[in-house]
Amino acid sequence: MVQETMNSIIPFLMIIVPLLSGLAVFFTGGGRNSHGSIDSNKYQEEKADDLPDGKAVPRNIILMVSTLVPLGLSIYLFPFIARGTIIVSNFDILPPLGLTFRVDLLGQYISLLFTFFGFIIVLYAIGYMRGDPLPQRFFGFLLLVFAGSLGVVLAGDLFTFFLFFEFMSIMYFVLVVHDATTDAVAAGVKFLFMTIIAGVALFLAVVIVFRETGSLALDTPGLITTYSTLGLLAFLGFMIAFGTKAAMFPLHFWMPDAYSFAPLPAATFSSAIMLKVGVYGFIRVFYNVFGLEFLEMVNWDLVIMLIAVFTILFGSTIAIAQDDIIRRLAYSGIAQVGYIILGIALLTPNALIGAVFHIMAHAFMKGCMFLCMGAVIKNTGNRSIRKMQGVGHQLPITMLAFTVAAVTSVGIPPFNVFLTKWHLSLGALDINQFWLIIILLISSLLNAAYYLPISYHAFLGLEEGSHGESAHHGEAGHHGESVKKKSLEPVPVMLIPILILTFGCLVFGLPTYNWPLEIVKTVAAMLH
Amino acid sequence: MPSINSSLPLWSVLLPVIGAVIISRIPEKAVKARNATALISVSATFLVVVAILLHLLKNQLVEFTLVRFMPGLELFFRIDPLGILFGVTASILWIFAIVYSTGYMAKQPNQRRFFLCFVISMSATLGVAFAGNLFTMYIFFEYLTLATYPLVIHSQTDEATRSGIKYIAYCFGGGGLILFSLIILQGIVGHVNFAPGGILGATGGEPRFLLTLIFFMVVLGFGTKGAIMPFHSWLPAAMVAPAPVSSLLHAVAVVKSGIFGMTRVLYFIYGPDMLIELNVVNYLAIMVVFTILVGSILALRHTVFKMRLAYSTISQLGYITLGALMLTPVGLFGGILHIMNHAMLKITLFFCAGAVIKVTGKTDVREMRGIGKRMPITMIAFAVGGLGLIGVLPISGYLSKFYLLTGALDADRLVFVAVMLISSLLNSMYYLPIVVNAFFREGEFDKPKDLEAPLTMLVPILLLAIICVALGLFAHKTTMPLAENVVNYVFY
Repeated sequence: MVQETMNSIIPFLMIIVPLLSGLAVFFTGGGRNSHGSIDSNKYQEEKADDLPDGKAVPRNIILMVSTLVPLGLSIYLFPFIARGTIIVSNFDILPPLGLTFRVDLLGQYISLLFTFFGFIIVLYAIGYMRGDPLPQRFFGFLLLVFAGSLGVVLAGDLFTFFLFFEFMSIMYFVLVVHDATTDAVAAGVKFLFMTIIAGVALFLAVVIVFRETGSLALDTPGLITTYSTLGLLAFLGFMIAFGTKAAMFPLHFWMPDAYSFAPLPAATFSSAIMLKVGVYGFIRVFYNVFGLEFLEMVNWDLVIMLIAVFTILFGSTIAIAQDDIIRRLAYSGIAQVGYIILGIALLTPNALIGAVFHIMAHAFMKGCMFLCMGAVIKNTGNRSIRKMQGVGHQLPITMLAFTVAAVTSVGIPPFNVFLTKWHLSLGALDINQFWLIIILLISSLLNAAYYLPISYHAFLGLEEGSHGESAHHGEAGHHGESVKKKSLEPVPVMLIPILILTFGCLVFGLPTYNWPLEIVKTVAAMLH
Repeated sequence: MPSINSSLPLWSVLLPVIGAVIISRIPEKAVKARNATALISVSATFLVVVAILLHLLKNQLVEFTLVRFMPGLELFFRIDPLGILFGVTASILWIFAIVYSTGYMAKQPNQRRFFLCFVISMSATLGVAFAGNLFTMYIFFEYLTLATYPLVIHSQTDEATRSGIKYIAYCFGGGGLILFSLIILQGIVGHVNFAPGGILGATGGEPRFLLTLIFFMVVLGFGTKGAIMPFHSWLPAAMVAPAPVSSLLHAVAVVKSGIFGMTRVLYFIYGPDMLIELNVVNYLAIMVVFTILVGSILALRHTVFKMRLAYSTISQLGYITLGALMLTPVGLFGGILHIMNHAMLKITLFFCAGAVIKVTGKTDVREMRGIGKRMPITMIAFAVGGLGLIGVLPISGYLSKFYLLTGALDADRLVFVAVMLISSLLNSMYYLPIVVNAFFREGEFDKPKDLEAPLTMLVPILLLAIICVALGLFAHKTTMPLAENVVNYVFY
């Protein structure tokens, strides 16, 4: 297939705008806050906004502009790329290979998602971080991470990919430790070392690919075409690097800690965007670095497939045992990413459609849940699922949105995750792996088991495991009634993102109106 | 390559001496006059080096014979691509270090002695870089030891004196080995001039035993100054010196002149072919691998800030030697790049350490919690340096690692690859916690905030950190052509 290429600076602009804005944000607001000792209260929910309005407003303007501009540019590029044009641009910096960008339909699809979710999360964070002592640091680094994640998906070669991959990860560290509690620092350090290990592994892999093939460009259906020990080493390096980022078992353990101690918008960002960067790496490695024919020959994909299956079951099972809502979401995220990796590792077009579609579906569904729970945590100060009795009366819209997302995650039509599971199942059937469908079903049941009770108790206010003790019940009911009067619904700037994501869970599941699925089908056709 | 005769090399060695003489006539209390003289003499020397560089860029070697003692034995400068690379790196950093020193040494006693020795050691370092034969290099090598000794014992405490003795003993011990080898090589070949590809080709590897023995003697002689284990212990001891000395001399000039001398011996006296013929490289490689790993592990165990940096230096110098020992163009290229990259990165780290020590008086990394909130610029620069040495893009260190790894793969040495990766991880384990604790933990300080170092220290730190990033992004316009010239000169 002859592909038309178009030289354009737009990919570079999409990265540089949030990057420079991120730097600019450091100089807005707050100044250096001389809070001598860090408050042991990590949520800081009741603190008054210590920023004068005059400083918060310019920052918010920068934040909106810097996320809307990449989104706009991405939409602008869409018609070109949809016609099959490849956007490229090269810069003569960063030897030995230069900084190159190359946007094909896959990159475009993911960058569209990233810019959209970047906007949503930043919007939400403006509300959520109100009262934070160092908002300029949080937002500055959030934008840097955002720029890094865009750089990864727009990169035209592995070296550029690596640059932004490392940049994103190291900047994300600052978000994890933002609250500066002992736990947050411990979680951050864990994350940082996983990042360094991933970076070293990726570096080795990149060096090997470069030495073996003399190229690192991501525009071919397979750079490495013959078996060698070094090739295997490179494959392992890639898997360690991207497996860490995507929280694939057994490289997942940084994630629950990082999520539960990072400020919630940062956790959401990771779930909706950063995990997907790891997944994107998997796709590029499977389809552009090694190539289908080669992988089918050496069968390395089978190992990844088994790990993915294990990741799904492991994540779902552990999630049930978690009482902290964020940890439950985190383990569930591990399972969900398992779907995507499974879809990639099956190496069939249908499974790939499922995987690439799930990148979007999961971002909507899990992003929505994170944002809902952020509202709950911020406004009630409670993270324990057991204590979320009757919370649905306090935040009815939020919990309704959460319920929609929870039902979506189970994979029932007409919600969008259904399409993921449908295509994954088709893909599994294509290569006669019936047992995978059973795995998917088990996982769906587990999903239902750990999400639906949350909604159920939130609205019906029954004490979990109370065994119908009437005294206890009465107390809970009373409690529910007393809070009923006071609405704890989040401010509009937080509620609107939640509603948009909820809408997304629904609308992209309806088969008649599903342009993302069409894009995904084209992507799969392009890669196969 | 054609060569021209020019007195520029002489001036590069002479100008710092003239500056030092003037400094010796300036009274102790005339701080400004002394600082200005030091800066001017160092900058003037730098300009001379740049003038030499311009000749080199036109593909001309610069030669100058100072004294001829007898045929084949002369004080003789010949500046080739390798020499200019080391000369330029060192002389740029000298300017930064002098500016930094004026801030660091402010209100300290014995400044005259300090600046005198500091300027004069530039002359010795450039002499080593520009030497055209082993004899000249040896002379300047010893001269460097003498010039830096007063800097090591500058504080004149008992500890400093003991360290000074160790320093002298190790460096002169190494020098003795070089002198001995020099005499024997002179006897075998008739001259000891450096020539790409080596000068021993005519001997056909005979007498084999003697050549092998001499190889180890001369390489270890230089290796002592390059802090190869187990001859490294002078370097941590020398950390009693003031921070500018540790940063420039014991992270760049002195240790790198050891590594530089070793490279000279490997490629310009013995030559890759002879080394393969004698089959000596592997023994040395074992020592270097040991140095890299043990150096990193010891760095991890030491909590005194400068000691940690010193052991890290020992380990990083091993990278350069490893690159040179691969005897392949790519490996040498990586090693040479790392001479420059490591110089910039490590001096940044040492400058930051010095600033912290100067401002807070704290020397242990465990006491530095929360320092990042007081000295944000310094600690951000430190983070840049640390990440650069770990090999994070786009800070310059990644590039040398890229080529070193490629070279190791080319030479089919997976052991080297593993060693470098492990060392990278260890690097991150001893640098990153410092940064993390600096910014995200609370510590106790006498003054609550605004502890940032004076501008004379802060500006060099900031500039160097920017240079480290720029050398990563624009290496193909700066460091890579220089290193490429060296590789072309040596191999083709």
